[in-house]
Amino acid sequence: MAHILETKSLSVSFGEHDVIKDVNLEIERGKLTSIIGPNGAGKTTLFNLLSGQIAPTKGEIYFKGSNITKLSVPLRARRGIGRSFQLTNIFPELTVLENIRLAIQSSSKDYYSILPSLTNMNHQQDEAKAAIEGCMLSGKEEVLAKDLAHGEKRKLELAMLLALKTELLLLDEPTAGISVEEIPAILEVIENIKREGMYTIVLIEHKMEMVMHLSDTLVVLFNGELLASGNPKEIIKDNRVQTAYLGGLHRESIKTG
Amino acid sequence: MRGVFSKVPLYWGLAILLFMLMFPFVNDTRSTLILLTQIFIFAIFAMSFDILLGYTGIVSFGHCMFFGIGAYSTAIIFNKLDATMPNFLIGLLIGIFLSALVSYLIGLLSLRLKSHFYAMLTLAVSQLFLVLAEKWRGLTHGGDGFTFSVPDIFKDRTSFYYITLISMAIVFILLKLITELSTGRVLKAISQNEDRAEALGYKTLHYKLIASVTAGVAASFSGALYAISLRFINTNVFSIEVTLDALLMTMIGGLGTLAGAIAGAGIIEFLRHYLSELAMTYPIFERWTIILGILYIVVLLGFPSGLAGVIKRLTLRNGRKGRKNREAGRAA
Repeated sequence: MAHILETKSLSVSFGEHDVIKDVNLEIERGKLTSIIGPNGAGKTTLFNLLSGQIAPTKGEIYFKGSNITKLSVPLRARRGIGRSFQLTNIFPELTVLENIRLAIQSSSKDYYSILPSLTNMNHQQDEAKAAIEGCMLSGKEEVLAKDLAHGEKRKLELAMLLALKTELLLLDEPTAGISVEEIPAILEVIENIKREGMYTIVLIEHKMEMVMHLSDTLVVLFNGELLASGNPKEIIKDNRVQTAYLGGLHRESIKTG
Repeated sequence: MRGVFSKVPLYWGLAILLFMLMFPFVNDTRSTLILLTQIFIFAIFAMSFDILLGYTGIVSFGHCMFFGIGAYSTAIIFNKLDATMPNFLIGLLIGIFLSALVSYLIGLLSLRLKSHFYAMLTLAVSQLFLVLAEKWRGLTHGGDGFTFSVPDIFKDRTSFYYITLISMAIVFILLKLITELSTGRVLKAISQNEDRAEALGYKTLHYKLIASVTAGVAASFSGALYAISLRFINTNVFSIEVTLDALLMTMIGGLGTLAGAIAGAGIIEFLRHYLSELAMTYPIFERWTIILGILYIVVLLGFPSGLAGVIKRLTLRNGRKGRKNREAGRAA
């Protein structure tokens, strides 16, 4: 099966306002798909629908062939959908190590052991330390997450997501609020994940150079509707996309991308 | 694992336990032993409240109901049957079972909603129990309450002192293990960021239920010991003051630290005892609850993380100073 995730005429409305309209999305396994669109196009809402934070008014979501529309957030996470949030979303009063250990505890299916075995806990501890090294946060294990610099928080969030070992990663603007100098580090982390080939990644991102550099597929969302999807180079030449989103503003960066 | 236990000042705990074990040999005046017994019993109650508020971030306005359920179960069994140890166990188990059931049902109904419904529902149900205790006169003798006799081992102040002390130590160790290991971590995570915990694959409702039932069972246990210590029971155990006591004790000791709850119970019970004694000489202390109220305000404004927070800050500062001194020494 080529598509790891599919939506069928997915719609959601808040009151009178249709935020997502009849979206039929197909995400190819092992590929990186970027979702672009102007502010308010419904990108994050779409993510919330996919990860289960909100329920659709209409339509279905299929993950690995089975209908997950009615599943709760934790159950979707257990099936293999991990997500990061646009606003950094970590446990502020826990240390970096504890933050990561929570993700590892979940991925090793250690949910309810009130008195876990020592070997198990040691194992999780070691795994957490490895994950911290992997995301370049070594030496910060015992720092409270709230005391990290913003860029480090984003790294921590990515590390938690990876430690969860889900097949599908939904990354909601991983570079939001990050200084220009720190972007290459985040970019490198995402490239590394992609190169490993174990993951399917869906990315929401505004930085067009980054999108063009990383994406295998590009999806354009406009006013809650799926405007176009396909090969990035062709999509951005699409006239509708040009007028709807790019509006000529980004033409320069597109040429270089 | 080393990491887990290095956080617990194990030696301090052992030293204090040892001291308390030796204490009756040093001072066995009746009033002191009774006071300490009360402290141990309320420490268990405060710790159970801390599991809810301090670790999981669940607010309860009716925690007294579990205390009352435990107290009444034991008292009624002793009243209706003989005062023997097997009957004590039966009463205790009935109390624990009822508390577990009630806390589970209330949790199931209200913890799904990420809001204050648990607080409201516990308040309502605890008032329901108060009314029940007042009206079911055949069983409870209404608001006047009743006295009952207890097994001899509970009558002796020294042996009851040891029973409550060891009970407190056991409850402390059990709760400490639960809160420091896997499940406890998730509880702490939920109190800080419930959505994130869900996105990591944790069914947060289950964890909140675990916290609710654990707290209910521990509170019921302390209630049973409380009834035995008085050998008398009335509807006061279901009053809102009992819940407020638990809140005050955990706040003063420091939320989310079980040892803090014990210290808080000690401070409050100690103050209550000595302030009411002072009232004999200074009439102003007739109103000692006002002093507790002022203390509460001072703690909230000045030391929101309680006694535990103050100690932590002091040791951190000392640690830093020590490190600086060492570094300075090395530089020289």
